[in-house]
Amino acid sequence: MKRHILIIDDEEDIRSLLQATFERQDYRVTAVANKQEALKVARADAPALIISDLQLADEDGLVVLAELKQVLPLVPSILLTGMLFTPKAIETIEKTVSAYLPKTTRVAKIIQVARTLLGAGEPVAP
Amino acid sequence: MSMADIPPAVPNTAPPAPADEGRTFRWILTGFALSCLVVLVMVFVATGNLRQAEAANDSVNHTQSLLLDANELLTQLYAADTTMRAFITTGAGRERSACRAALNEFSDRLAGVQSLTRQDDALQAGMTAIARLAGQRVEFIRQVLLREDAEGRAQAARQLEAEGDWGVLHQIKEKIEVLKLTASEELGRRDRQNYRQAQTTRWTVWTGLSLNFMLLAGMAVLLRQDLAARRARAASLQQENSRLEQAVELRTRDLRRANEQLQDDLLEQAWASQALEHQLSYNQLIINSVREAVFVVTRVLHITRANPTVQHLTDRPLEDIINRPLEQIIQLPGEGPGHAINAQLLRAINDGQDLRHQPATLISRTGQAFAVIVSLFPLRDSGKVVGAVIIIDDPLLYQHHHANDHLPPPPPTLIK
Repeated sequence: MKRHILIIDDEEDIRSLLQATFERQDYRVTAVANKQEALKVARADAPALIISDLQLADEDGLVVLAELKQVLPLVPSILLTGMLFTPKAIETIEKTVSAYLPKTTRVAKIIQVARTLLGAGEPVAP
Repeated sequence: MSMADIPPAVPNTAPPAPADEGRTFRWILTGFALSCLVVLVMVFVATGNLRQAEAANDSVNHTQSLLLDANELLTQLYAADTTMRAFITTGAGRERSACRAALNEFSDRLAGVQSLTRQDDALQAGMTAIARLAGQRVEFIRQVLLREDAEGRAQAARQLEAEGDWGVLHQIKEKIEVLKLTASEELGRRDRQNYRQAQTTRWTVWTGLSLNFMLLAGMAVLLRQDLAARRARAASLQQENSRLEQAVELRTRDLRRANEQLQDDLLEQAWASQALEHQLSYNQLIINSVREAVFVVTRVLHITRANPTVQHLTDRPLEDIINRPLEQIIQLPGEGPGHAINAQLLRAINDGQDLRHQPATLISRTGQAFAVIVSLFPLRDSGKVVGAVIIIDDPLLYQHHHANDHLPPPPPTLIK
């Protein structure tokens, strides 16, 4: 059975790219644009991994991931962002998320991190 | 797996070329034709021999009849002669009748024997002589009988006694014996000829059969070789087909893999492109958020980026600012006569040093000049200066900051 990945990004192009990327890797992908949709999907069809952009249109991605963590405490998550953080900030971020990746990271690296996290975490029913 | 893993092509050894197949077919056809010819020759020769055998058989039957009839001929002649003598001696009418019957029988036999000898000259000549002598004897018998009728038995007896001996009959007997001997010799010759024909037929049949057998054996060998070659070619084709199928499969797999790689590369490229675009947009956002006029320039002072404040101060659209030499918008006076404009800025970039709060002139789109204060901060990438950020200080800040430093206030004409 295909593993389920939830992608959250307010930019349509990035959502499509990430969805195509992970579907090519034989994952089942649900891509949403905001927190409400993400929570709805998380409750209805628990993903095995959550990937979110930091800067969402209506919300901070870190906050969204924190809320999703309350629903799915064992599901790993990846935060993607175009902003540069200091090491201290990254340390803080990584307390909430499983991995932090700049948006300039190569796709192959994103897939590798996702695979590693999927090997460690299993989807948990809400 | 790659193309190098494809098995090598099968060497074309056993399978004959189509030309060889045609030659084999021609050889088989020729063999079949020869076989038919041999059978025809056999039939022709055998039929001829049968015909000759039938003719020889007829001749043998003929000769046998001749021998029998010749014996009978002599018997009838003796019977006619004997009954004639008995009649003359006894006067018995039945003897006379018997004599006449024997004479008639003799005549019939003679005609038959003559017809039997018509085919053979030697026999015919012998038979002619016999017929002549027999005719004499028959005539004599008839004359004796006629004399008995006319003059009585005594006269007839005297004529009979006058005849004396049996000479003519002996001659006829000898001639008939010679005829029988000749016929027997002919019979022997025919037998020998029949034997030779039978032998010839046997030889013909056996030779034909042997020849046919050899031809059939030859054709069988050719067919066997042809079948073997066809099997070998079929096997070779099968092997070649398998090899090609394998090659196609490998090639298809390679292409599929290349296609997947290409798809991955395209995704990677699209992702990198959006990341770059995002980064550029983000960088632009950063300078856009600064209240001061900000230029980003290359090492040779060409403008690569500017914020909305620059557009506002110069009254130029962004596309009219980007790629323009900085000196067309910002000019720092030369340090002395003959010194180039903006030489200070270039030197600061080359030295990698900040240059702060330098008085300069801002040229607007309409050519108006405004006195401004500029600062330059070199841009470093891995320690190497790749350009610089030039900022036109906020006049309000400048005024506030430098009020206590007894520096000249910013020009009032800075804000239009």
